[in-house]
Amino acid sequence: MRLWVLILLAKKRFVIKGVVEHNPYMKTFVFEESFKANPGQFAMVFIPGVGEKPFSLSSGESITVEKRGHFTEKFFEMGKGDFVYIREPLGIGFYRMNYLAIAGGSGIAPIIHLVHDGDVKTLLYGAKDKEHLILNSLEQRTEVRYATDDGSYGYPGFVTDLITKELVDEYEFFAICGPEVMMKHAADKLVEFGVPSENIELSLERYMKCGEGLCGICEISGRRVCVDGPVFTYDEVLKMPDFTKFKRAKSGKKVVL
Amino acid sequence: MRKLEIYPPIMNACGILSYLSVFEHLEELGADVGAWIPKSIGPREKQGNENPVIHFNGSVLMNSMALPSMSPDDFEKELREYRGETPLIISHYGETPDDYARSVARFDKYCIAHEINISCPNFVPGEKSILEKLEPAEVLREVRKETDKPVIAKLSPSDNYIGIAQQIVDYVDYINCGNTLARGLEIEPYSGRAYLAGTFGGLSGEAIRPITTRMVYDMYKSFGNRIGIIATGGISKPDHIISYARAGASLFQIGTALHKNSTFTAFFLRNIWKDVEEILKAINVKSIDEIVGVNFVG
Repeated sequence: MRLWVLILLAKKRFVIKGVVEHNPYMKTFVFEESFKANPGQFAMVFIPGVGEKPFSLSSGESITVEKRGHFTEKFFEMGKGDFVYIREPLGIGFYRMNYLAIAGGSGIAPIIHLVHDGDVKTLLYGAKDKEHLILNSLEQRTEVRYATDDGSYGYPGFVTDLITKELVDEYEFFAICGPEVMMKHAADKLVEFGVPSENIELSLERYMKCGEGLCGICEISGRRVCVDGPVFTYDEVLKMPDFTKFKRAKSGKKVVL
Repeated sequence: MRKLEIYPPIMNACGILSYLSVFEHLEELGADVGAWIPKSIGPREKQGNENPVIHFNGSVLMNSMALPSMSPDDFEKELREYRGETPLIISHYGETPDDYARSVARFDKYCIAHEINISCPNFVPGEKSILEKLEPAEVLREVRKETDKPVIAKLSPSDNYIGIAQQIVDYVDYINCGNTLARGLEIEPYSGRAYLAGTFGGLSGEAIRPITTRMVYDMYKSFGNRIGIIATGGISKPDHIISYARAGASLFQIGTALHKNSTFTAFFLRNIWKDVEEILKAINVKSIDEIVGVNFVG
């Protein structure tokens, strides 16, 4: 007889201890109690009467949120003493250390968690412009090289331009999070520089409903992002024809990404 | 009765895993089921309820998905691209008997059987439930005209299932016991809002297994000589399958227990039936059919 263990997660109430405003688009909510999740794992955040959405955790007790739609607008209105419900830890996170990390836009969120845990040696971090960057906090824990599309801060151009053979040769493991096309460029460049694809970890995102592997809506070429990911190694991602191409909409219909 | 010949006699429950690409991936990883059931297909594209669609309170799982569905055209496109070896059973829902009949006719060539969902307890607030809109007998009569393959009617333990079964027994080959238990409500105490965006939700998982076992038992006593019975609800161990067989079920669907990563899900679906056979051997039973509905003495 085998052992059959199957437990779902009950959500728990978390009270906000403080809010850090990084820029007009991004805030970090710090909670009174800490999470169980490791870097790269995620949480389903429920605001009663508003909805529920998946978020990466940015540390053992915080979530960094980018304003995107109705849910995050409501989230942005919350402050000290307000509460949300959180289901965590969900999914599989990053599982190596001493990374060269590459982040684009709001893809910085799970990378912040890695930085907090001291697992990132160098961070390449790009965004649209200076106003979309989180500045003056990550530098305390790691070396950060910035890039902006419009040149308003750091290197003028794409964050993937900062990936050089010289830099890559110093590292064994690589963590990437950002828009899918950016992740593909970055990972392909690393492979070109001789990095084995299994040493590159990517954090993927898909529309989610249950967040616990039941409904299947977040599947990418058959892998359920909520339980098989969100962090996948690049050799696994290379077996997913839907990567950078398709996602499922709320109805389950496959749509172009 | 048209017999559904599948081995092993286990399937995913409809609404769980849902998509053909997920099934293909699990098959690659070694999952062994007799059939896969994609998410119920409806007459047109529909989004279902907003998040949160599930709520687990520590004992029972509630969901209010409310039948999200891609369009039949998109579904057919995916069916044409299906590369799995495991046969499919297609689940249908509709708003009129004609919706069901057309869907069954259209997708008949892609499946080995049809499951007719006339019991989904979830709907978008403001809509009506399927049973409020439809006469089950009328639906199944129309469906029966469109196919020679086995027809499964999926009922819920919270419906008057014996009454409904009496009306449809001539048109179906199997009854699935059953859908989620309708419908629960839990309220978040500090805000006064429901935990589910759809307010109410169907109950599933381990906690409802006693209720579906009773439903299987009732159904077998009343109709066991005329139709087959599928047990769905809280199967997470091989023992549960044996118990359901004793109550009268010959086919089994697994739902809530599949909420783990693909490697684990495939492992689960590869081994659960092997373990059932080991148990049968240990109690000197050659095949599960020998104990279906006959070894329960109360």
